[in-house]
Amino acid sequence: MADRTPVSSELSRDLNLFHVTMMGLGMMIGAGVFIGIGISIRQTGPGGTVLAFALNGLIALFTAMSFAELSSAIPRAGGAYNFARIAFGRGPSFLAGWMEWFASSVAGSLYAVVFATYTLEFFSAMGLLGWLPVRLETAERIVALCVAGLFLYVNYRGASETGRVGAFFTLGQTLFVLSIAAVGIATAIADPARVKNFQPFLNPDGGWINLLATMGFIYVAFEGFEVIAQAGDETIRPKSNIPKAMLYSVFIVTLTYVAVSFATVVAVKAGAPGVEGEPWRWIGQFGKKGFGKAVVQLLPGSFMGHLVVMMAVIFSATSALNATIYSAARASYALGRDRMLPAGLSHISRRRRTPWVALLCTGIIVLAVAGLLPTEDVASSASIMFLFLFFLVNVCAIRVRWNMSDELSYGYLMPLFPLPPIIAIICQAVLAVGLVRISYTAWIIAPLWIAGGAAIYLLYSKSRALATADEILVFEERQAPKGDGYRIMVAVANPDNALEMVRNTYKLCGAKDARVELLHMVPVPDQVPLADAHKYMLAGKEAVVETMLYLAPLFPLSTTLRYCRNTARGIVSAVREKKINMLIMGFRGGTRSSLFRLGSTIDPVIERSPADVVILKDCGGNKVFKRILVPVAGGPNAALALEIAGILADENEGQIVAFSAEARGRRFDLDGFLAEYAERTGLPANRIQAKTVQANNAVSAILAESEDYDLVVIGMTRRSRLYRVTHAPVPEVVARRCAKPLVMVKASGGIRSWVKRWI
Amino acid sequence: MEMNAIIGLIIIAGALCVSTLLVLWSRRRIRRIADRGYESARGILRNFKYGG
Repeated sequence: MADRTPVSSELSRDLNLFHVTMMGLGMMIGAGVFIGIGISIRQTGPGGTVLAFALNGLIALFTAMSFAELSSAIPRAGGAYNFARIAFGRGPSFLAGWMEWFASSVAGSLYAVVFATYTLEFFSAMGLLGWLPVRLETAERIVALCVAGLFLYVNYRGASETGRVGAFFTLGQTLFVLSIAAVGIATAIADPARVKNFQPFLNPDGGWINLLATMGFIYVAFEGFEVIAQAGDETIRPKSNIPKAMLYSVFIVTLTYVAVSFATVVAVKAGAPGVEGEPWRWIGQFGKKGFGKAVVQLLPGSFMGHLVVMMAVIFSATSALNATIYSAARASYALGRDRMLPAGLSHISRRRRTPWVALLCTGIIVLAVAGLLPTEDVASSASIMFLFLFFLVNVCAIRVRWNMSDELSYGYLMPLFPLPPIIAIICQAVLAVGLVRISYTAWIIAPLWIAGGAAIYLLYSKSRALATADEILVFEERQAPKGDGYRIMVAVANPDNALEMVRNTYKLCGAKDARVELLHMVPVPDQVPLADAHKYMLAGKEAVVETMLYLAPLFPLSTTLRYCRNTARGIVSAVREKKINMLIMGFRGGTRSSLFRLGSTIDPVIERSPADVVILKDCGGNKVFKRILVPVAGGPNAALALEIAGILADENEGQIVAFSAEARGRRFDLDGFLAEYAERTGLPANRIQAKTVQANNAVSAILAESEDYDLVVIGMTRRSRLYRVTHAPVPEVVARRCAKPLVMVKASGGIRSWVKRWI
Repeated sequence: MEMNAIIGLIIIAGALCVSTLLVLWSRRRIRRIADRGYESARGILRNFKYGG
């Protein structure tokens, strides 16, 4: 009797330093810089704008050091809400969550407004808005509301672009913004006279005082790095990577903003057609559209300039809008979950598995602010709320270090403590006060929201909040089971799928004398912290237990439920961590999305899995495979297909037919291939046959031939993703259309594009 | 060059230099702490003090 391990649950840690740094960058290079530069130049002058970004970057870095130290000691999702709970208890923790909810929601409103402003500006510049029955400002409001509504719905559906895809989007948008900066700097070198655009350095009407107000206003451009703290549960080596990612992202974004603001000022040539007066005043008069107006002058052709600016803004604003909405929903969800606000906020939709009440309440704030407030008040309200929030986190950093330095295990200690948080606290207080010069409304809204929160806490939350012990629970990282030998991982999706895979898994495990690892991934929407994933676990537990009933008495077996944001990424990271040799999955036979060949989970797993992959379709029940068809076109996947066919074939009567469908003029040496690989099947030579047919269409030939067989085993293509998108490879088409039981296999090593191979 | 510009440029250069130094210093600390193992703030500072 083999050893039996109970079902364990663990978090899927599949985000590395690059991913989490890009997550922070994606949130920061959102809209603040696009909308802030024009207004900033108007307020504080050309040099003052560059100065404001450099100084804000330093203040943000001090705050990032506080966040980094706290995140390294408490590497669990929750961010400021968690830090305040540990440092001060429930009251300040509630206020932190309450402020974070509002700040993220208002930032979302800002991104929606920026999206609308720059998109309509593009169409207006192209002369395509002459038919509009309303004023441009009204149209901007309507578009902002529509795009915010759209992303609220996207969040409700549970769609997400975090992780790898999000990281590459962010890399693209960062490179886009950096290229604008590079062109600006090159222009200044080629035409040094443009540096005179920096005269006067500061706006003569306001001087250094206006600089402070402007710094407060554009501080919202540095919000976003705190989201990295939310990824504590999903990050590899969080104690090191989270602090590094926070510091790197703030540093990169500071350099980018300084360079972009410099480029914006030198983009406009004094005396150029259409440019009246001093270039900085000309840029400033456009306010929130000033950045776009200036950058268009940098690029050749009006259409191209407008298009580039619009694309940069659309990429940045939409990704930041999506992220802020789920960040805000997650904050309000956490308040509901801990009964600090009514429990209904943590209610999760059965159909979509997302916290719809939290999203609805967040949506009301986002839409109300985007629809009612002027842009400058929206940006100022977001800025001031983040200033208050960061103020609180800096205080937490000091208190936690002084009071709990022996209890917590740190991965990072800020240098020069306590100077950085103290300087940040003072500077943030000054900036918040300075904001009065730009927006009185923000100074009315923010204190009202905080006072309202305090009242709710005292009257409602204080007596209802749940115990703190649940909040500071930190998940352990579980090590891969000890012991060598062949390891097979079975990814089970649900009880039906688990039973279907048991019989064939049994055969494969027996042939390989393998240790079995049952895996069920529990996808958790972005709006719900991974620590709350137990709400989604029931189906997975059922599936794993069903499979265990059959396999546990026969093979060494361990079982894992893993929480993840993305099932495919979670499976690949589990295969890597546990050093799996073969992965077995099920395939239901089709996908609803045209973006994927076999499915949103199977496609990326096949592409990236470092282990052999075996995908079973309709192979369940007591099916006996006496005649097995193995379509062959050479390569390691075909060899593995032969081996798997040999294992699955009926022991006494099983026969394998290696089948080659050749187009005219092309010849594949099937006999030579069999001579080399037939012994891998483990069957006597008289039970393996070769069959070659001439056919123009390989898919039709294979499907027609498969009618006479009990099972088809086919190797996947090793072509790149680009090829697969453009060519519809034979194995994938056969897999979708074949009515017979089918097994797809891919030998370890992954499918790599020529770009990846070259790198 | 006007006085505001000179002061402004010095502040910009100073802010960027301080930011760079702090990031590099922090990076070095993170690496040293990871090499020696995570522990309490007091333990880490003691290690730093005695050249750990």
